[in-house]
Amino acid sequence: MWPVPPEACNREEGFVCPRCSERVHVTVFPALTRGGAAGLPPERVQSDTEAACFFHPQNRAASPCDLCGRFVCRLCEIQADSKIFCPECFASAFKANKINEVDKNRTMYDSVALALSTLPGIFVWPVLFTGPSTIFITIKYWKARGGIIPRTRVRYYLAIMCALAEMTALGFVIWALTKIPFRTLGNP
Amino acid sequence: MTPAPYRKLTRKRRGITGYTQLWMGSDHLLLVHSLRVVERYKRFAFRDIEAIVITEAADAWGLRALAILAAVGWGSIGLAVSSYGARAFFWITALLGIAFVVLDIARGPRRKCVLKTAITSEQLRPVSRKKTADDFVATVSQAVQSVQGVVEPLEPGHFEPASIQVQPMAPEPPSQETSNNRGYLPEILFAVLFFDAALVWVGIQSIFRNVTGLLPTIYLAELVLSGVVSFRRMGLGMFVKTLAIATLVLCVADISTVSGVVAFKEVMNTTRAPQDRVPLSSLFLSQQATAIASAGWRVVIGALGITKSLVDRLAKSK
Repeated sequence: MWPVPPEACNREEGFVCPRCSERVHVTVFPALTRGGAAGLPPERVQSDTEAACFFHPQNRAASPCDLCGRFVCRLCEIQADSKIFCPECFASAFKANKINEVDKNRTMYDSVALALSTLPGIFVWPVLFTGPSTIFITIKYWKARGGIIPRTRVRYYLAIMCALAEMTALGFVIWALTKIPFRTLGNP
Repeated sequence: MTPAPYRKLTRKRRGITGYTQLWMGSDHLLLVHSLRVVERYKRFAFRDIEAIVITEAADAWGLRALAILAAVGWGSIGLAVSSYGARAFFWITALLGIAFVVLDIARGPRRKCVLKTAITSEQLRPVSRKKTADDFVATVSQAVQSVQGVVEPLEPGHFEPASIQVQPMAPEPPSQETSNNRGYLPEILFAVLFFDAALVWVGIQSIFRNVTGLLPTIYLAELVLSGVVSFRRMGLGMFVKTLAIATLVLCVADISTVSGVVAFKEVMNTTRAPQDRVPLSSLFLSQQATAIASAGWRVVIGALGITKSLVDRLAKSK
């Protein structure tokens, strides 16, 4: 597909691809020819009175890390979530999935709770274990951050309601089995 | 930490395991791939987007016609069934099949969208129809222009071809791309034919009588698979395509003339009283000949197809 001939770009009618014979519309932007924007180079320390980078003592410090307070040069400073991180703090926060701007995945505990409360209900008896698990997950992760995109707590409410209903029904069945005299069930 | 505000760009493109959806942030696009209990994210900063490529994909009219024919055929079985429940089942499922095709047509022409940055080319699956693609390009172009500058129509030679070639993005060789796009669907089709040959043989020979009830399912699988292999652009050779089309034709012929008649009699027999059941034989052939004919063409095409596919793959790997 790429590179596309320059005369085919930004044409409303597009062009017909010689390989697949299908019409292709290509919208190119200045970044294609401009290339990647490089960051600013670090500055050298000029005198002993200047603060130096924790990781590169020969470089002048540009800013402190918002987490650990170490001074870092322009080469080391990483901006994310409107904060400045040093490489070590960034690596640990990234590993712990704590930076919104760069996290790659999130677990949807409300979906986990809902699935746990509904799917095992088909087989009835697993509810003995999944019902309390649903309530535990709901309480533990109630305030945990959800997905990046907007999402309500309706799944948590549904999960709790399903789990409570299932556990109540199962409890009733167990109570009935223990209380009703056995002969009245099948042997009148 | 407050989450970044996002605006919905496309509807959810649902699949078996979850969905994908595009959202627009203040300075980037967010591609969300949900696996129900886990969401995975990919971000594309407006300053890094180099191009948006929209391809007008084939509309698969052949497949749509085939799907409607299959649905009508399926629904017509309801006419031959006396039970109201069975009749309702066949008609409702057939109507659902037709509604699916009509909905597919109503959603408009198909499109394929690829977003290109300096280091990646990502296919955006939620942008799969013309209207969505038009809206997407209009919205994203505006956002990218506000960061990168105005996009102007390029005249031939407006920028040097060399400026494109120096980009780090290296296009894959055509042969490798073809083999990647091809997938294993042809092999699955030919393997299914082998498996079906055994089932058809067992079913018609009445070794296990209930096996005949599987034949309608077998036909459906063969129709769908051979239809997809025949009409979808998968970079297949002419021989494999011819085998797939032959499978489609023989499968339809088999339903209407040879073993299909036996299968549908068996299905209808299940709804009849024992004394009203009809003997299993095709319109034109004896039971033995029916079994040989319907299992035979499957074995022959399956063997030819598997062999050819294996030879092609070995040649490409070398």
